[in-house]
This record gives sequence, structure tokens and C-alpha cells, in this order.
Amino acid sequence: MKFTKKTLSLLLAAAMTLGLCACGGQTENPVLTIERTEHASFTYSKEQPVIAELEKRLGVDIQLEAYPGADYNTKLKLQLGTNDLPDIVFSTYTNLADYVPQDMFVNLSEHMDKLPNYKATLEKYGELANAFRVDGDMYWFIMTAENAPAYGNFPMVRQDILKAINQDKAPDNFEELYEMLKAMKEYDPDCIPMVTRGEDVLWRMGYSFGTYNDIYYEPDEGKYQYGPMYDRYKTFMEYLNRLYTEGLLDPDFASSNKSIWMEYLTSGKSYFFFENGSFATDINLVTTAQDPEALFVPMTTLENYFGSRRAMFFEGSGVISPFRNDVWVISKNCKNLDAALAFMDYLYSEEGARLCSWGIEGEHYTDENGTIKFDQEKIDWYLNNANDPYREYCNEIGVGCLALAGRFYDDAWYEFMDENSKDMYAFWLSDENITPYSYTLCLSAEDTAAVTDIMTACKTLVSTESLKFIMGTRPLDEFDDFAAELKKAGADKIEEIYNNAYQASLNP
Amino acid sequence: MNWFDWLNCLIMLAVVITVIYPLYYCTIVSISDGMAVTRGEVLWKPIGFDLSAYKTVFSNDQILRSYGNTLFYTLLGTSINMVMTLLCAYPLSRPGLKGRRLFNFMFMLTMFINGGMIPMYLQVKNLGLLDSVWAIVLPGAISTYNMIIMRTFFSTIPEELHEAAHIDGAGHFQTFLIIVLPLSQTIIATLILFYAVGHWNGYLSALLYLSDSAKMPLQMIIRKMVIDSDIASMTTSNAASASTEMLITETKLKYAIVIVSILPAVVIYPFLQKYFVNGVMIGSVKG
Repeated sequence: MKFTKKTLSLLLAAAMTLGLCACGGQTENPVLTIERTEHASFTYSKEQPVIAELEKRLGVDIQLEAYPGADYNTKLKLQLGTNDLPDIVFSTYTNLADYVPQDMFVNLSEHMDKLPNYKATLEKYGELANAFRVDGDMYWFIMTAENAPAYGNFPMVRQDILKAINQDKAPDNFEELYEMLKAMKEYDPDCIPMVTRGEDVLWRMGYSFGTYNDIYYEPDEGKYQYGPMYDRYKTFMEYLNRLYTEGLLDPDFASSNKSIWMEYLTSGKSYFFFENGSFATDINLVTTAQDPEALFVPMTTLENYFGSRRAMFFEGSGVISPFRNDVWVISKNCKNLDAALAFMDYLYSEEGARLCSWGIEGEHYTDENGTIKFDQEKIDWYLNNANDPYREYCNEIGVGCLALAGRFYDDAWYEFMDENSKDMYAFWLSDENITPYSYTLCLSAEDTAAVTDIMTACKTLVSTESLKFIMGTRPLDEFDDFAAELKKAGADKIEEIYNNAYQASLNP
Repeated sequence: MNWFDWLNCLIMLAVVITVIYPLYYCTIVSISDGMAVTRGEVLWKPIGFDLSAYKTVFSNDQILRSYGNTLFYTLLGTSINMVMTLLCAYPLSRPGLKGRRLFNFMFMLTMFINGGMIPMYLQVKNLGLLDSVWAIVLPGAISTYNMIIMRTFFSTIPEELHEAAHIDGAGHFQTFLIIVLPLSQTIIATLILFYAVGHWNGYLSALLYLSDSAKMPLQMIIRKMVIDSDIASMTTSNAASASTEMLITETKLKYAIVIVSILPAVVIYPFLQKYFVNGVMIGSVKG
């Protein structure tokens, strides 16, 4: 370790000499090294006005380290393994949870007196925030998106085809959905009415259908359940099997992927999808270029066979929970802990949130009695010249979920939407049938270790057997055997752990 | 031609098509109309003509800067590799070197047993190389495998040539520079290609040892744009693309970057290729 210290002091000496030469003896600001993933349309840089402004306002020197998301975990594991973490690190809580017991991160619960703004944010969302605690302690700054457009997995249908098959009303429940797909197939025998992005359909459609292909919170029962162990999943399998055998579902759905899925929908071979509805923006752009009527529109949340209606909204999309699964942690090695805490807390203050959402007041936005106005000229320029307008706009200023943000407002996004998309998002927001769906539940280290192995075994079983049921290579009479196999693999143990953790999170 | 030749031709043709088609496909997609690409209509020939993807690539500062970095790392890295490999392989090929077997064994050992990622990182860190160009070019200065190839090649140069040089008054360095090097053009060209391609495609050491984005090589940017955009659209957290044209140019952009990044290798290869085919030893030993 002697050698490290020597090198470090040499480097420091060199850095200080350089610093002195450059700025003529200013007092040294504390340095914060911050690391995060970088999106393809975003280049994290100190030239972004917001980062420069943060440095100025907080009197810190920010050093950024950014890596492609695909390799970020390798880098992170290496840094965790060599105990060489930067001061502030970004990742998802699922990635970092394993390292909490190894005492790598600062326990924020011990410093709540220095984090008034973050504390207020957590208190505002009470129960939702508590689900992020590990054994009662908070280790992360959860990225919080407010006023964000809400989106999730929704049924989307081509409106012109709906008219063509003489259905004046879109389906209202899953049986009517089946009737509609059947009518589409009769109308155009060459089409594949419904396409999916691979096995994703099991969870994307599953939740609305009243079940799930994994451990999930079942609102009808008020507890966590391992979906495929229950009869509801059998009904779901029967339903998909019916779609599959009648040619209403893509026969190659199991091996499909995003580009195939996109190809079918944009080339007019498919008229329905139950997926991340926000993709409709992209799809409509291509379909309407040829025929303005060929528009995918959202449908009302369908009533399932168990008498409930529910839509699955994604985390951090404002409606259910403002918390994204992205988090920041402070490394135990951090030399300027107070500066790091003050920096992160500032990101959760109103002033900091505005800066990280909209930029610098007067320069990037104006606040006229509470109405936020953006630089329309700039927005128009990006809409006409950029590949990815909203993200590239955010990149120029240094704002939003891809930047250095803790709590932020995502409403500038609306400025970049076309009319169809605005209608679509408004439709989802006005949907009365939203039932909260809770994604997040941080398990303690022990529980995570106990669950991981069982989980892998169960997932493999669910994935292979579900496909067999849908394709009819395994008769549905054997569903009970399948449920018994899952139980044997330990699915009920997962349920137990999750339910205990859930109860604990309700009473921290 | 008998049936065997025909069969041979057919198989070879199939191999050629499997190799050429992906390259061809990348090219036509990158210059076709974005809408047609999304609808999956581009398969055999370009539809429409649109260079916007290339415009984006060449107006992106990050891509251009990293392109320059990669060129620099490749040139510097390959030079270091070649000098070190030559200097290491030649003595090891000489029968007169004392302890030759031991040295060879020590080199061989590193091929089978290495420290792994974390010790390597700690070593680079302790040497103070982190976040500098040296972290990229120094740790792998000699590839044992390539060094053995070169050593084996050197040992095929007839001893008579060394003796002749010795009689004419050449020392070890002179023999190496004047006799051995010119005779080894084939293997030098081959290894330059091996090393250069390795540096050109290398991203792992950049990922592990660099943190300054201004120093990142091209492959890191390509990974970000090609692989991440796939991942981003798979997961839920940032799947929503509110962009109007992102989707249309996404695929095109990916392929344009791929084309731009493989271009140097495609251009350089034909010039190096002649060294692979020439039999350099022909006529050097008479009698």
C-alpha cells in the first residue's frame, strides 16, 4: 500500500502544480468523481451548462467518468472488487444490492440530518420509498421523475382496421379482444393479427390478464404471488394457446425480437400489439407516411376473466411511482463525504430539481407565474434536425434522466411529442382503471442470496413450459403437475421471502 | 472439371457469399431510405438513396475524436508490439543463447497462467498507468503467441546465412538488421496485421483502464451506439423513444458506423496481402 500512497501523492503534487499554474492560486474546491452509464444519444461532458452551473453553485470540482451501458457492469464489478470506486456511482439498485452487505456504500440513514431535501422527498412518497430500504436502511439516492409522461404495457390497435372489420367499439375485455383478432384474420387471411417481442408477452400481457410469469404483487389478493403456480396462469395459457392454434398470434413469437416485431407492425402485416405503448410513436411515423389513417391507437384497459381491470405502468413514469430503478450511491472511500452529501442533497431541492430538469432560468426556460416556458426555437431546431430530438436537447443542456439528476421534472418531453402521441399519453393518464403495481422491493442480503438460485431454476422452468403450453406440445391437463414442479423447485419459498420483506417494508 | 471441382466451387461460393453478404447488407442498409429499412424491404439492393447516416457519423465530435484516438493507439501500440516482439524473438531463436530453454519456458508459462482481470488492474494502477495511453499500449506489448510464431520463423532461416554474415564481419545487431529482417518481411507483415487488428478492435483495456472520455477509442463509442441502443430498447426504464426519426435512422446509423470503422482494415489488407503469398525464402540458399 506504500507504493499506492506514494504514487497518489506524486499525482496529487503534479495535479496541484498544474492547478496552480492554470488558475493562479485559487482555493481548491473539493473534487467529486462521478461515474455513470452513457446513452447513445447523450454525451456526458463538463461543457454542458448545467454541470458547470452545479460546480459554480456548490463550489465543487466535478470529474465525470462515463461508460457504455453494455460494459458498465464489468467496470463496476472491477471497481468494487478492487475497492477503487469513484465518489459517487450510478447504477440500478438491483445491481448494487449485492454489495451493500460488503460495506461498500455510505449508509444514508446515518446522515439524514445532512440530507434535508432528500429526506423530504422520501417522506413525500412514504411507503413507495420504504420498499427501497435494505434491512431498514437507505443506501441510495433514488432517481425521481416527477410530472413524467406515463407509459407502460398497453393494448394498441390499428384504428383503420378496426373500422374495416365493422367494429365501432374497441374491445372492452379479453374475450372481445379474441373476437377482434379473429375478425382481423377473416378480413385479411394473410395477416398475423398479433405480434410480440418474443416471450415478453408472458409478463407484458400477463399482468393485465390477471397473472404474471414471475413473483409479483397481486392486488386482488394483497400479497406477493409466484404467478405460474396459480390457476389464473392456466387460464392465461389457455388463452394464448387459443390465439396460437388459430393463427392469431405470430407462429414464431417465441424467437421474435424488436426488429422483426417492428417490421411486422410497420409493413402492415400485423394490426395489434400488447406492449410498451410508447413505441406507437415510432411505428405510427412509418405507417402514416404511406396512409394517414394507418394509426395505432391505445385501447381502454381490458377487463380480465377475473373481473378486474389493470394496466401495468412502468416505474418512474409518474403515475404509480416517481422512482426509477436508477440510483446513486456514495462510496465508502469518498474523501469529501460532506461535499458529496451536500451535492446529492442539492439535486433533490426545488432549486436543484429545476436546474436538472429545465436548465438555467432565463437562459433555457422562463417561469411566468408558475408556467414554465421553453425555448421554442431550440425545440423546433431539434425536432427538425436531430435523430433523437428530446434526448439530444437534454444533452445540450445537461438535463433529464440521462444527466446528473436526482429529482427532476420530465414535462419538457411533452414539447417534443406530435399530436397523436400527446393524445395517446393523455388517454393513458385519464384511464380510471389504473391499479397500482409495485415493482420495487429491496431484499436483505441474506434473502437475496436465498432467492437467487431458486429464482433461476423457476424462471427456466416457467419459460420453457409456458412455451410448450402455448404451442400445445404439452397438454394443459398437465398444468397441475407443472405447478407442483414449481413448488418443488422452491417457488413457494420465494413467495414467503417476498411477503415477509413486504410486511417489513410496510412497518419500517 | 470433374464433379469434385464443381462441388468444391459450390462450397467455396457459399463460403464467399456468407462472408460478403453481411458486409454488403450493412452497406446497402446504411445508404437506403430509412422507412424502407424499418419495414424490412431492404434485402438485396438499396432502396432509395440517403447519406444522412454518414452525415451524422461525420458530424459527431465524439466519433471523430475516438477515431483519431484509435488510429494513434493502433500506430503506437503496433510499433511497440513489433519492436518488442522482434527484440524478444530473435535472441530466443539463436542456438547460442545460454538458458534458452528456461526463457522459452518462462514465456510459455504466461500463455497458460495469467493473473486475471483484478490483479492486472491493480498492477496497472500501482504502476501509475491508469487513465493514460500507456495503459493501453504497454500491458500487452508482447503477445507470447505471436512471439513464438516469429521465433519459429527466425529459426527456419538457414544457419549458413548467419555464418556467411559472421565471416563478412557482421555482429549480432548487424546480422539481425541486414540479413534477418529483410528475409522476414512475410512474418513481419503478418504480425503487423495481427497486432494492428487487435488494437483496432480492442476495447476491454480501454474500458478497464481509461476513465477520461476524451481518451476513449472508437470501439467504445461503437459499443455505446450499436449495442446500447439495442439494450435501451429492450429494457423498460428508457424504452420510450419520443423521437420522431430515431427509429428510422437507428439501424442505418449503426451500420454506417460499422462501415466507417472497418474501412481502414478493408483498405489496408490488400496491400499487406501480397506479403502473405510471396515465398520469401526462394533462392536464398544455393547448393
